[in-house]
Amino acid sequence: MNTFELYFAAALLAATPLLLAATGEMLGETLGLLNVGIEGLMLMGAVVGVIVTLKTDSPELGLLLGALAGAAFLLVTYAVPVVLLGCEQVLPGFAVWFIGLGLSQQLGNAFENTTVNSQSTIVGLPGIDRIPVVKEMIGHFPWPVYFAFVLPFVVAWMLSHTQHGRDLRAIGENPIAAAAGAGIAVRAWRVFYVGVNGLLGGLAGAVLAVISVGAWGPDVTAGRGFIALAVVLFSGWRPLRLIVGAYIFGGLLILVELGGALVWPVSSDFLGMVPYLGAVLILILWSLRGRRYGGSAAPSSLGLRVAQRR
Amino acid sequence: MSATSLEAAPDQSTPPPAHSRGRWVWAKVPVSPARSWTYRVIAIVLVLVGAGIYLGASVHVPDLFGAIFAQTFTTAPNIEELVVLATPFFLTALAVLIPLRVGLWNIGGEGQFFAGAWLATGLAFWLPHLAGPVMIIGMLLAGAIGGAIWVTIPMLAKVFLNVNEIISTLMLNLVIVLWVAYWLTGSWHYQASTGGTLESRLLPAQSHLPLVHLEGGLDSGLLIAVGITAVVGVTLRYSAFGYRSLVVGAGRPVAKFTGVRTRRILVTSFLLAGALAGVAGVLQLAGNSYQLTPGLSNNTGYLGIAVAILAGNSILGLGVMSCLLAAIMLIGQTVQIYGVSSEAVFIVIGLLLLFNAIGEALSQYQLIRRPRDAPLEPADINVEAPFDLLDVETQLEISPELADDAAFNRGADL
Repeated sequence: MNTFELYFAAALLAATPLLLAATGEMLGETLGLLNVGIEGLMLMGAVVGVIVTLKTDSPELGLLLGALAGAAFLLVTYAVPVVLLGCEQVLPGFAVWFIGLGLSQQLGNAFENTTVNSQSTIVGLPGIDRIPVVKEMIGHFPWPVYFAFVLPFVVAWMLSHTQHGRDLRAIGENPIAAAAGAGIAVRAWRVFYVGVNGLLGGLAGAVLAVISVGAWGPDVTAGRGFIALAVVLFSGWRPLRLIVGAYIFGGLLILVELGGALVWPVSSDFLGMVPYLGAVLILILWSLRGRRYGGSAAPSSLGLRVAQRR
Repeated sequence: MSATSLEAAPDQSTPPPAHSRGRWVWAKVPVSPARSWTYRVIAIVLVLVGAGIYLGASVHVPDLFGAIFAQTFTTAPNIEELVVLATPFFLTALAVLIPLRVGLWNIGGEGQFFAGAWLATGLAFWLPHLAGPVMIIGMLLAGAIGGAIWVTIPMLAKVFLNVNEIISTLMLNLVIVLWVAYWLTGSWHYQASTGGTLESRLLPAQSHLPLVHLEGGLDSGLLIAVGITAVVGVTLRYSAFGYRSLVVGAGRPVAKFTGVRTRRILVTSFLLAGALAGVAGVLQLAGNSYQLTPGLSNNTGYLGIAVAILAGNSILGLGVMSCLLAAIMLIGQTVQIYGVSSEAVFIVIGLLLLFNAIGEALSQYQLIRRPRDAPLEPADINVEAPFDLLDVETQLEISPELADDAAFNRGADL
């Protein structure tokens, strides 16, 4: 395997948590629910995933319970205040971030820097071994890498080709009309998709800690939750663009390792800044482009306070 | 009265049976500050009591709370430590509160804190022979400039391109941590540091803030912080700028309508916020640690967000909440010897934010009884834009069109 293939593979792996978390967040935002606390959500999924994997020696179970923990966490800290009680959305998002940060470290204290083995999650694409270069680049990965890649296609199909997807977009554009006019169960679907957001965010954290890093550490996400938020903005709420955005940032996130391996004459501190500066830069460029080609594609009720009292 | 409503009206002669008298619904009640504050204080008390119960149940030490109280609040050095801990909160909370008044989130207090501290450290190292007062004033100015520079890119991106400021300010926090690490491993590295600890050389002695009281390490930084907070508080309350920032926060069409220059207010608010966070960094640097370290901020940049939110746009509340959060942090340090992780403080503060938001929402609603067959009112499903999420770009785009709109101009004639 040459260096290019190796780092292509590393970038795919680094992009997977971003893609999972961003897909979940985009689904939530489609219904008008802005959750800025993905960072805390991913940390919860990460710590539960690592602990379960260490206790049961089963990374599959770790990923599953990490995802479920994320869903339960987000339902309690975000769905209850925002959907059921009609709170403003940013504050519960910060609460998700802070509580996730504190709780995950409290839970993970005893498991810090214990490595986990996730070899058993690696699957091979059928028939890929006959193709020479491609098999090295995309042939053998943990299954979440493929799952994350397929998911945006499923979401894209659902949102534009099914009645349920149209219902969801109707909720995001105008919850009043969706509830009173079209008779859609706005509140129930909002709660459900907060759960889905939590599931995918928790899975993202678990994938990051169990598979990519292979251990729990206090700041294992290192801002990836906020990068996922930037990926959603970059996508313009189009699921397939999430893949592009996530892989761009996945590539930027491994620059530190790449620079170390190729002995670039640049400090690793500067290479580490690139994904964060890149996020700001991409949002600025995207906004310039948006100015030229028309308005925002954001769901109209995104971030608005919706109190449904009946 | 129309025929349909006559039919729908209940029979007045016989009272309906008790079970069908109506159903409980959430109904909106007029917002009153007293009601809102009551709910929010209840929320804070609930969280603190809950945290206390959890602590009592998980840590088995006889007379735990007595020990915590004795180690935290009784002796003069402890109270001084509390005050020292509270000092940076005043300024990092102002750095969130001022943009919040115009409806924008500054999550970059942590980054601006370090940018200010970095530039001040640079000044002290590059011009080490400045006389004491000149040096200190220079460092405070450098801190303000550093913090303001660090907020400039997100500010310009928000005001002119409507780039989400939550993400951009936060991303720059992560950047400055690496930038500081670069200098600490490089030319500012403290040779005598043990075990590869990242820390800078000690600052020259004349750059240290004078101590007010030697015993607990109480420095004049507190006086500076309180002074700045008071000045900013009075400015926000009584100056034209403070009033205009509230107008902008009420919604960009309102600002346009009243002739306030929105962009100027947004730019000023952000720069002021960055400068204050930068000064907080200098106070911590010159008053407390005397060297630049990655742990200099002690997360005060992030926790300032919580202080500002809990304070609810009140300078007095900001002082109280700064002390409350400092007390929580101090208790957190005290209970670390009982196996509670240092980051558990974040759980308490996250819960405070959550319960505060819930309390604020609950204070606007009340359970009332409504007849079971009452028709669905438009107000039953209610969408409102909170002042802090109004979209700058949309507002700015709407405004010029509105200016030509006849209906809009009719309003101007009134």
